[in-house]
Amino acid sequence: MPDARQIAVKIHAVGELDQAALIPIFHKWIQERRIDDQLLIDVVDYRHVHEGPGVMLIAHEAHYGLDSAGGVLGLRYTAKHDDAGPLADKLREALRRALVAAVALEGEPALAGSLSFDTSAIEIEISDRLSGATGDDLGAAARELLAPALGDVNIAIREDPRLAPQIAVTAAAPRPSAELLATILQA
Amino acid sequence: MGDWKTRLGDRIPAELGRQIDIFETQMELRRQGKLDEKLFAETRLRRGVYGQRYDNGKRHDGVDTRPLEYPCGDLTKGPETVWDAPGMQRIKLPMGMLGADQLDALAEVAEEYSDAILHVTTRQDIQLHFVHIGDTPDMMRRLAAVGITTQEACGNAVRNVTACQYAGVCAGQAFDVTPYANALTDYLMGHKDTQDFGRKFKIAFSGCEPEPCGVANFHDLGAIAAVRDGERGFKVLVGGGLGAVPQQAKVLSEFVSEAELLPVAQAVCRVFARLGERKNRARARLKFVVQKLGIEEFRRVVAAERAEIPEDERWRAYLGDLSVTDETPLRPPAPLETGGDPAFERWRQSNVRPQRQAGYSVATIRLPLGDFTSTQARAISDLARRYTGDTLRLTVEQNICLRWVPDADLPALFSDLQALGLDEAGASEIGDIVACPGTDTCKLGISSSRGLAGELERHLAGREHHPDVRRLHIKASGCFNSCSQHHVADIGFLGVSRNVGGRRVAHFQLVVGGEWARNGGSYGLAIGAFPSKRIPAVVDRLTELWTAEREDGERLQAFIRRFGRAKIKAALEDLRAVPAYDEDPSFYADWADAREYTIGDMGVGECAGEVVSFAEFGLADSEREIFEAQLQLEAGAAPEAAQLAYRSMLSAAKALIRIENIDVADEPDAIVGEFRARFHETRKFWDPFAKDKFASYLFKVHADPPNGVDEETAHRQIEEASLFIEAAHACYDRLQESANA
Repeated sequence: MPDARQIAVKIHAVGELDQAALIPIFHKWIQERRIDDQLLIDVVDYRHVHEGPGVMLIAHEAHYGLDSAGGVLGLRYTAKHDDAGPLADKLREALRRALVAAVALEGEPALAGSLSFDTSAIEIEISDRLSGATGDDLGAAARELLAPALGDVNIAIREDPRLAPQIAVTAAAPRPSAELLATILQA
Repeated sequence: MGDWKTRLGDRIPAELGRQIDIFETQMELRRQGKLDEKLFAETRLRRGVYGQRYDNGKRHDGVDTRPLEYPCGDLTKGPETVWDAPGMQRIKLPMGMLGADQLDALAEVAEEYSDAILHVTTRQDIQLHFVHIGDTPDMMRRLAAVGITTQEACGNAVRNVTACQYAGVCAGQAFDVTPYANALTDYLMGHKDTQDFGRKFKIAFSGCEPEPCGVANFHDLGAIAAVRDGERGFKVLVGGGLGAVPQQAKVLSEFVSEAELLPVAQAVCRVFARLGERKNRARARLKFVVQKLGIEEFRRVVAAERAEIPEDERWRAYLGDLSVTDETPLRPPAPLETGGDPAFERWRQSNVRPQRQAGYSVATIRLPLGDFTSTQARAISDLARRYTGDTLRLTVEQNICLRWVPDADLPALFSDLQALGLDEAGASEIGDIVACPGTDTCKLGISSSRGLAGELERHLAGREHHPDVRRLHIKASGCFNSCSQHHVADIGFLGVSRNVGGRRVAHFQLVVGGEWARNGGSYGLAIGAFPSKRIPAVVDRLTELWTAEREDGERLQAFIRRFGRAKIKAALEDLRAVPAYDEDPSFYADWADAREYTIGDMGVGECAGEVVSFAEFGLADSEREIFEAQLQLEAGAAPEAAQLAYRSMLSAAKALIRIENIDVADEPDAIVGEFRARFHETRKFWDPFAKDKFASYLFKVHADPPNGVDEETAHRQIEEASLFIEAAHACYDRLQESANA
């Protein structure tokens, strides 16, 4: 299977959220070095952009944000500046990072439980057009990683030659973010 | 996995590819410590690889200034600029012209190397943020493969050549300036006569005089299309500029024939390279050369330089085929047959402009804060492929235009834009606010211009405005450098900081009286600083005052002259108040930022209290005097205005001196002497970016006190005094914090 460099994962959100609430949360994460093995740098506000990346947390290694692309709100994690490596490893790491952030947001007192994530609906993208990996490769890697935790998963591959390979993973029922994270960590 | 250089192969034009390879080598040399960091910095700037806020490796997180410990360690990409720190990539698009394939490529690189947001600038560029320098060579290759270069996007070079977005399709144009702007862009790019500037050089083209679109009046070189006796040519202007102290361009020549456009421009460049200041960056723009020589002498010098330049066949070769930049509409013209729903009609009224070519219109897509996503970019490409062909243009108001839209297709286009969330009406109206990046990403930002603009857009949205209010232009800059062009706005804002009860509070100076029309016809003046959180109320109060008190049809600029700044200031005075921190802490954070506002560090204390009183009183005196200077200028008393401006600087200087020497004498010589010794030579009065620029304003005018000055000079001296006073505030704040540390 081809290598990949940068993977993006988007876990669909459940619930309504005024993204203004994320601004102080992400600033606090920076103060507290909440993700201690990544260099958190800044918070960027793109709420004014239609179906845009929303409020983002910029780290040296990745971007986090509540993204509304396609009209669907979700936590998006995009790896940056990664070295090339086996697709399965990159996918596991990106999913792990996204779930860590999801769990953290779900537990944020300021959000008072208003935000949670539907792990039965996940979009994954190879955000690197040099990678030779295809949607089929990505789907196979995703199935191998997620099926043990989510059961039967359906993989829909986005077919658009202009776009980086992307899949939408759906399952019959979600697992709580923390549980899925634990399963990924054991994989 | 391969690499982009191999994959793209000879789709990259050879010379562009070579330049990118050179840059990549320079990067490696820098990584190895074999290339001086200052030299590398200018190198990368000339390829549009720019710095961003916090790239010095430090950031105030709301509690304290903390180091950002990048993996690269001590490696830098310029003085105090950490190698790994995210940067901004500026991408030149001459005249803002863009094709569908190019937009697709921009979308790709935005996704992979940036945050998937494309930002349109006030000079028709695209900027991408949070880009790692390691990604820039591949980004450049991918753009080069679609005919886009980042060469000379920044640095001491000829920047992006801009032109009005209606060039070629405008009913009022003298002729299409596009092929001329295109020829000049190609000619000057990398030309030996443009490689030795001490500062940047900006060029703008306009098809006519009355409209604002080309904004030729505030560029180093402006060219306004003109026809004389059937011959095409240009009115050429020189030495314009905004920045901290704006300068109207002067007429170099009422008519330069098309055959002479390139050599005359080249001659101006040569004069700039030869006579421009190099050591003092604050005085290194062409406007200072023109000012120093006077326009008559400047004309003579340029003419002499022109006579020396060896003939170059490229000067006229392009004139043989001016159709090279012509656009071919995709679809035949067709009239709009039916009326649309109210939303469509509202959009059509504000965002659609009929072309000179019957049956076609230009549709402007209003981009919120100049931003759009990579997904929207590809969708706009598809719209171009469906309706118009490669006829996209970016605008200096941070929007994007589709030209050659058949009128009959407008409803369908609108419907498509609705699906993309790009159907917002009100392009170029009051709610379509131009803002520079400000404190979001710019190292020089003092207050959040984008945060303010976003808030103002929300505040103004969905409200019924008087038609004349709707047509106002608001521009917001994060600092005095005027990247949003606030000087020519009807209502302009520039970010400043004020100390309130020992804490810093984000403010904006309100600048009124600017004129967007007539190519950026005239500049406004600051009327006072208001807390950032009160700006929406300021806009409301000012527009209400205007609509209530104006005489029939009176434009805002004329109203301000007639009504008077004193009365306007008085009407807004209560909005300057900042509540105590305990009463409303929200004033002490900027828009869309949860951190307590700072311009680097903050401190609150008591031991400087007594001294604070003297200094604050003195600074308040200086602000009063500068305002009185504006009133004098308004009344036509330029010499008196200049005197007051000078006195206001003396007051501000004295306010600072009294912190250390309460007995300083009132005589100007004593004040300036003490200021020089205590604050200038000790670098207490020092701006990290402007260095001693602001102090030099006082020294210069003290050495040559104003006497018999004209209106323009008085206007400039008021601007300089305003900046000196701002710098005095900043100096006072630093002193207070040091005292309390």
